[in-house]
Amino acid sequence: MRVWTRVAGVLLSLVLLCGCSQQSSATDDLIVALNETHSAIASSILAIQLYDQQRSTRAVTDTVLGDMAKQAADAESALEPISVDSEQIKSDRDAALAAIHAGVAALLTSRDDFEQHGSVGDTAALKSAGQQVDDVLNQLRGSR
Amino acid sequence: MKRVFGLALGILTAIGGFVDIGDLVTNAVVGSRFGLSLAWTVAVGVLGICIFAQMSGRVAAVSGRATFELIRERLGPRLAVMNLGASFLINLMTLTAEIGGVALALQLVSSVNYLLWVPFAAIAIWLVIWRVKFKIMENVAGLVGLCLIGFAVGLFLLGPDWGELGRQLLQKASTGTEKTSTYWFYAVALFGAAMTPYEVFFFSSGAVEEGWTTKDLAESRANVLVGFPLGGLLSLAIAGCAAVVLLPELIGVTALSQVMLPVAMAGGKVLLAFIILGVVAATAGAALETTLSAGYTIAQFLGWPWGKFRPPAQAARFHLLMIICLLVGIGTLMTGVDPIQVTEFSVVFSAVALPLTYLPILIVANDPQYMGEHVNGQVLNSVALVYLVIILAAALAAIPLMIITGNGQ
Repeated sequence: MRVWTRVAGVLLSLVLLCGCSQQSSATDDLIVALNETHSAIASSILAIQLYDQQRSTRAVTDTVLGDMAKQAADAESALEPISVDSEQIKSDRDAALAAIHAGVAALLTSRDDFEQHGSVGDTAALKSAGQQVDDVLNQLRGSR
Repeated sequence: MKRVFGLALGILTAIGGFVDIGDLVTNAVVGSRFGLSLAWTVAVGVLGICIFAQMSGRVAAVSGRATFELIRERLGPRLAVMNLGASFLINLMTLTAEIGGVALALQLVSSVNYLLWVPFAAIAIWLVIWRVKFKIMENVAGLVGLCLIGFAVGLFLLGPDWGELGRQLLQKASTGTEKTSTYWFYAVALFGAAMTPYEVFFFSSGAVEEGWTTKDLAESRANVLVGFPLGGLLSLAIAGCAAVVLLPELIGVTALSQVMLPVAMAGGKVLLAFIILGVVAATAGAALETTLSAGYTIAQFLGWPWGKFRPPAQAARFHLLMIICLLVGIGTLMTGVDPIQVTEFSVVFSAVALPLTYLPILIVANDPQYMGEHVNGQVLNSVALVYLVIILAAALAAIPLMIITGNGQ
């Protein structure tokens, strides 16, 4: 019985530690969210290019675009718990939020276009959003 | 001739059956973030699984009994229950991940959301376990799983800078923006993916299912020592494709669909079709193995009749248990939990449970009461002990690394 009590104690401690581990620095959290958005946009652009070159199937492209739109939307939601304790963090958070939001909008549009018409006319919006994300990402990495 | 054919078939099945959703996802994630700098972990993991899988296969062939039965008898129920608890929970998590993997692969064919495929995938797995003979089930899944060789073909077609890939092999610790702690987290995850506990329990129970005797020892050794390392090369090819195409674009793999992008770039729709077929077979094969392993471990521990060699009516509790495990897997996935995250957790917790799985096997394989003249030799014991130290280090480091890195972020 004592063994089980100890095991339960260790598990509880681990759960608490896991909870504490979530409180990393705000800048790190912003960088993670931006990285995920960059990855989602770059994956979507690559998937669209491969489909246009007839190297990939509609189902695979459709799935990539759906998965990546969800990933970027999750990255945007992940900004919500970040608390702002300085003007600098607030400014960084707002810049990251704007860039990620532009990425989410472009990804959703691409996904919907592809679902409805079987093609994404132009990847310019995705590329522009990707550039915006990269700019903020580089700025935050430089300030770290 | 028949023996050579059997040997070749066994090796091919071992290659095709080596890769599961854990290997697929973890290798692709690692390739896209660290290139081939963690390839050494795959090599260490493959050697480890070879050592312990052939050991558990030998135990089953010599004693005619599966590893779990002997562990309970040799170590007593109190110690064996720790082994059972750890192995069963990891196995259940892996089973859930594999069902999710089948569903995700079917989404890549159909565009239909993977959640709609989950119940069908689980029912298909149950039907195969219920109706199909063990040997046919194992061979078909393993042979069709060989389509994953397409990753190696794809890597060649991509025409990478081999010198650069070679440099990545020798690269130490972190790369680019990745932290050293994240590097070690993924080293542990890859090690856990290669040494997943269910593989040894399935291997030893399968030996009993197929009625191995000491005459089959050479063949079983060849299956493991040739098949598993070649399967390990497939894992490296998955990481290689991701390293060549995704790493330069800073695309971190978080979804199975992204793993298909390098394949499409390399070989177009034909190679893509091969790979998706391979992924379906590999994940379905692993789902069959984990479902059976769930039944094997509990039934062997509790002394219930088990095995596909018995009609289901004679092993009713064994079959009922597998149905319950499949239902738990379906239920978990239907909550909307991401199957890729389940996979990532399963490989890390696999690493945590490794000592509880592999130490008892080593103890039983050294017991002359069960093994007679076939006990481990000194060299094998020395290597196995070195591995136990590595396993213990990985198990102790897994959860702290998971906490420090925020699960590899």
